[in-house]
Amino acid sequence: MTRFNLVGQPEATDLTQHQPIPDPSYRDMEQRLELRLAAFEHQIAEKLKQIEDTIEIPRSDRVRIQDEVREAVKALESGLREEVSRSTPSFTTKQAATLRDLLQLLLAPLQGELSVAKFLHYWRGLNTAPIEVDEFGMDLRFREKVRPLFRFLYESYWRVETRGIHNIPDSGAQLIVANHSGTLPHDGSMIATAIDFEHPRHRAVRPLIEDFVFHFPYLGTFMNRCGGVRACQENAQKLLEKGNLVVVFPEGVKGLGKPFKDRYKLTRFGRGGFVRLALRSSVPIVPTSVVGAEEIHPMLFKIDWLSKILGLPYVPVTPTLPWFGLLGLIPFPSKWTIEFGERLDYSHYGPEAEKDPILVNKLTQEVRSKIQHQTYTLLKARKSIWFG
Amino acid sequence: MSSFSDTPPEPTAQDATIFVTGVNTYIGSNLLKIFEKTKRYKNIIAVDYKRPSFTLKKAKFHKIDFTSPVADEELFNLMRKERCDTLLHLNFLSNPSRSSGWAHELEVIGTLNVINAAQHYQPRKLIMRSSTMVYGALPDNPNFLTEEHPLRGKHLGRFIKDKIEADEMIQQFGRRYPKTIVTILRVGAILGPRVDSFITRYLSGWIVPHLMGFDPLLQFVHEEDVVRAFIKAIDEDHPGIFNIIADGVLPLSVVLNKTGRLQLPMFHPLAYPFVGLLWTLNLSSAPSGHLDFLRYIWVADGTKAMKQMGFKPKYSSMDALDAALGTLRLKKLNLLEAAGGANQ
Repeated sequence: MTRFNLVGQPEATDLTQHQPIPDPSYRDMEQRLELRLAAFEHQIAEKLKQIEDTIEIPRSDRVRIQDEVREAVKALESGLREEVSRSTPSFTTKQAATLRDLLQLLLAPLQGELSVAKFLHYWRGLNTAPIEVDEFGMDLRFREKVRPLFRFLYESYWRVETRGIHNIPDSGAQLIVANHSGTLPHDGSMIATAIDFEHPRHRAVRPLIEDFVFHFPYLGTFMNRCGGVRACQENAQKLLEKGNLVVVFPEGVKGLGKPFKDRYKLTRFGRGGFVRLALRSSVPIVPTSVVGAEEIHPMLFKIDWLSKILGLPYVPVTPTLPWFGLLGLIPFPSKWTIEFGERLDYSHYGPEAEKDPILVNKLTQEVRSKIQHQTYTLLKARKSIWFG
Repeated sequence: MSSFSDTPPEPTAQDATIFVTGVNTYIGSNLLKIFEKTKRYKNIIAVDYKRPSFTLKKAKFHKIDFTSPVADEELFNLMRKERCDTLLHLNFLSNPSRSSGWAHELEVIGTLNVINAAQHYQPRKLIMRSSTMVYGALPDNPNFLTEEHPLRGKHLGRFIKDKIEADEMIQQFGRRYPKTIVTILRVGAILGPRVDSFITRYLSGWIVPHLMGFDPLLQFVHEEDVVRAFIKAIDEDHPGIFNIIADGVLPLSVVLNKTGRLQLPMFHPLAYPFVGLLWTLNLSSAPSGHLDFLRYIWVADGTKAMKQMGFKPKYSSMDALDAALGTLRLKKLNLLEAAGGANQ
């Protein structure tokens, strides 16, 4: 896809000249692999169609052969993907995001929007470069594009320290249950970034997000393309069935929008939906604590009447937020710690146990107290809000 | 279309009489063409208020206006005379109509008439065409809407409301008369080389408007797959509701980029009255409520059709879109005549 600069001239497309992504060879390789796989798949589909049209095979055999070929292709594809992910160099977490990367990231959308060339481009019908999303709407290329921003926040701004990453498995489904805080949901993105950067397999996590996000323009789309999915039982179950890492915040909006005086006191853990989910899918739970997020936007109080008019869950008043306008959205640079606790496996109760409300409630309280305890331990060890 | 005759003949479909209402709709006319060609369908009765545009050799046409108050009796008499086995109820509009009163008569009262007739005669099987639009596009929809999900699209306009009412009426009929095999096929947004609907008209406009900052996931189904699903429901017995959709989802932005037209982002609070005005002035192909389909997710889950019916779509969402856009481009260049097949 050709990019255009402010005066409408096409930018150099050579990836090696300016490097917006830390390792161009990695990206290049993946792209080439994608293209080749797509071409390969296309060829096979064509061949299959030809076979279907010409040869008279009994119907049952044909279906079987089709399925076998499809499976073989899938196995080949997953094998290739694994090979590539193994050979890609891991991201060095110590390496701080450079200012140039960030500037480029911030200017890139502006350049596109301002130029007349972009509109001509659309008008001529040239912009047919397909972007691919998975079935829940995550766009891997978009993730790649916004990665410098999250790298900056993770490494330089909040200097996140991640512990217990070994509790996240290399493959398979798992439910990451965390405390929710900070007025704006930055903790979800930081948990996702932590696993993306620190985990040996750089796994993509799927945070479950509140419905109200999808009422707003840009916000819902942005979160969806980054990997977020609307929080509901159907979605969560489907994600776990496909072997995804799912992040849930059982406190929901209550935890996110609690006043500063109640910081690090976990609110009620919903109605135990996440425990029922874990029991039904027999998936282990990782209790996770995020420390530092409470201080990014200390909420003094909420304006209830305004939130009713605007249809927002709450309108916060923080030391910065309404007073400095959009600049108030800049969070305070506190020092964060994310701890992934020991895996809690409830599979021995069996999937039928989800119908037992007393057990579900008991397990919910157990997970909640584990996270609360873990959070207090981290808080005790913390000496300063800003330096950890 | 030769591939349809490959399927082995089922004993149930041997001499059974198949009634088709709404033969002038896209699905109806295509099914009728297949019935005409395929040997194993022997007795076909086509019912509509207007003759189909092509000549019928095998099928017998009977004129019944479903908006008339005596339509139920007429249909019942016909069903008794011809010994109806399978009743295909396809008499639904594919595009929102400005004369919403007439549309209501046709879809809701028409379905009521069909149910009244079916109640007296009780055919062995009743197959109805519904749409996945009945689930409605809402911000709190799950990413994949299953058949059990409540139908919440009522606020999106009369077009959807009528479809929901008809769908619920047939569901109720199925509960009351368990002897009759009731199959409801909720079909996704149909695209393909021969489809001419409000969706293709939207995609082929000189300017494609969309809502600023909203990029929901969409899903399309190829016209051939839809017809294949109906044939499957006729040949085999599959009681229940099934979503007929294709694999894969596409973000709206990808769809719009692929059209290659000028995109017009609209600020959403202003877009609704604006499109409403265009609709009243006969300049828009859909009323303002349909903007929600460009705003929130309404992707359906096709696993039930795959597991219980054994329906596997041949084309993905992207294939369906490619097929439709290719034809639209050729039409723009006057290389292809206007879409064949009658559409209501």
